[in-house]
Order: sequence, then C-alpha cells, then structure tokens
Amino acid sequence: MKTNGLDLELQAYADGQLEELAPARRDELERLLATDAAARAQVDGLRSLRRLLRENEPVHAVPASRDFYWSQVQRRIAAAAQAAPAGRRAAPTAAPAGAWLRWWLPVFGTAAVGLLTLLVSIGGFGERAGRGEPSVLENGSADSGAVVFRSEAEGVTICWLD
Amino acid sequence: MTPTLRHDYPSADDVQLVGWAKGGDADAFEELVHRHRDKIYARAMIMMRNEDEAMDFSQEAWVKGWQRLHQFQGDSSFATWMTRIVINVCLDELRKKKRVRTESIEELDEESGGVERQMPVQLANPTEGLEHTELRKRIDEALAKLSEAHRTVLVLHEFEGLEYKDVAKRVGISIGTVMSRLFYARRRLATLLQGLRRERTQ
Repeated sequence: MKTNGLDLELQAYADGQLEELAPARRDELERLLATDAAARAQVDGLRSLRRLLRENEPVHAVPASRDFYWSQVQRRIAAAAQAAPAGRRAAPTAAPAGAWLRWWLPVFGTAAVGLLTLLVSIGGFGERAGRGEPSVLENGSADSGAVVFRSEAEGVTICWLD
Repeated sequence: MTPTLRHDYPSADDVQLVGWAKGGDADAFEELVHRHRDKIYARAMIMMRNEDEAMDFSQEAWVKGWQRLHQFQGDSSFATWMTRIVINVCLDELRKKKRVRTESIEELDEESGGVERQMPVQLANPTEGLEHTELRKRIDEALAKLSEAHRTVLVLHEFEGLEYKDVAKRVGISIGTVMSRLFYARRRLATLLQGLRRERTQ
C-alpha cells in the first residue's frame, strides 16, 4: 500500500484503533501530535467528520404504504417457504394454521383473479357463451389444473384450482 | 385451525414482539417490520443508491429475518440484528456486481496509492447553521458521490460502528485496504462538504 503511512496511522489513532494495530507507535504519535500542528489538525478533522456523520446519518423512508410493503414481504416469505425443503417450511417455528392461511390467501386470490382475467380475454369464449350454453374451459396451462365454468344464461362464472 | 392469538401489538416492545413472532405470530412480525422498515430501507438505500434495489433488498432482509428469527438471541437490539442482515444482503449483491464489472479507474488509482497526499481531512465546520434535515440530505448527496467500495467501508465503520478488522472480514479485504479506502472516502467526503460550504457562502 503506497498511501502515506503516517496518514493511516493518524487515522487509526483518531479512530481509537492504533492500540490494536500498532501499539508501539502510540507514544511516538502522541509526541508528534504535541509538536506538529498539521498532524493535530488532521486528527481533529477526522474526529469532527466522524462525529458529523454519526450524528447525521441520512434517513430514507420506504416509498410505499405500510400495507403495500408488508404485502410484498408476506408474498416473498410465502414463496420462500414454498421453495424450501418440506421440513424447513414452517420457519421460525410451526406457525399457527390460521396465520399461514392469512399469508397464503393474497397469493391464491391474486392468482385466481389473474387467471380469470386471462380466460375471459381468450377469443372464442364470447362466441360460445353467446349461444347461451354453459361453457367449461380448461386453462391453457395444464400445470395449474384450473377450470373455469361459465353460464351466460345464468350470468355465473366459477373458477377453481385443483 | 388455530387462530393467531391477538395481542396489543402497538403497545408491545420489540422483545415481546420477537417472542410472539418466534411462535409464528405473523402480526407480531408485521409490527416489527412496520417499526423498523425505514431504518432497514435507509441502510440499503445508502449502500446501493438505488430505490428499486433498496426496496428489493430491504424486503429480502425481512424474509431472512423471519426465517432466522429463532437464531436471534437478543445479544443486540432487534433493529441492530436486522441492520446486519440487510447489510449482508447488500454486500452479497455488491460482490455479485463486482464479479461482472471492472472497477472504475478512480478506484484502481486510489487502491494502488496513485493519489498522493493532497490534503488532510479537515473540516472547518462546513455545515454550521444547516438544519438537521438539510444536513442529512447534504451528507447523503455526498455519500452518493463516493465510489461503491469507499462508501461501503465508510458505512460499515461510521454507521455500523465496526472496527477495521470486522469491516475487513465482512467485505473480504485486508485491514490495510480498509484503512486506505476509509482514508480516501473521508478525504473525498470532506472535500465534498467543503464544497458545500463554498456554495453556501457565495
């Protein structure tokens, strides 16, 4: 390291770290500080900057509402729990079933609404429903196992997930 | 199904909330998130200087906090414990980024000692008379102008209060590099804040 060694020693002295790093240098540095105004000013400057920073740590508020932020954290916790091996899902300890149900509801709810929107927008649905016959449509994604039932005559749409 | 037992969460202290959350009480954990989310987000923001990343990594920290809650023994405050987690999330990300990009010329120059001793870190009270909020804002702006490597070391030492050896361990660099980065970070910061003084006296 080519940085001026004295600068770094003075810095360590100002930070109270010299004892640990180079205890033998302490007395020598203190003698220097007693006679060298520039070195003293440097130590004082370091200490004022340190105080200034510690007393004025910048603040940033989350740019989202409490509910929105928490819903995102919840979703990620639920996703992480699902991705974790079976034995590790119930972190930190076995959560009450009611609590986990509350955590999962928004996930399933969002999935169901999205799926329904997707299926309603599929071309051909209108034609079939226009004949007034009940329609049962399978979702395009076979993995999801979702089925939508719609009866135009009764004005009812039911979507369920296996 | 066993419903979560409702407590008076807003009146509870962190220790009580942590205890309930350890038992799986999501509402207790939500209260903890609400209390400390700004601090955790702010730490991520200071480190990453990007709102989206700060949002992402602060949330990631909360997920890890929930998952590791059983490890929290109360040796430090919950907020301090969470701050360490978010710092680690940010450091991991910075390491990943570093692997795919070249260090800036400025950084290389400073790391190799190319910058001579130009001016000592001296502050002639450049921020005197500034409102507290304004002062924090100006310091934040100055921090944003530091290189990532310098800012990281400065944040860990000044705001986290870590000793050189702990900063070295967390960042994965030598103590000498910590000292060097810290020195240049401070000098640059002092210069930026002195610029602020000049700007205010004009």
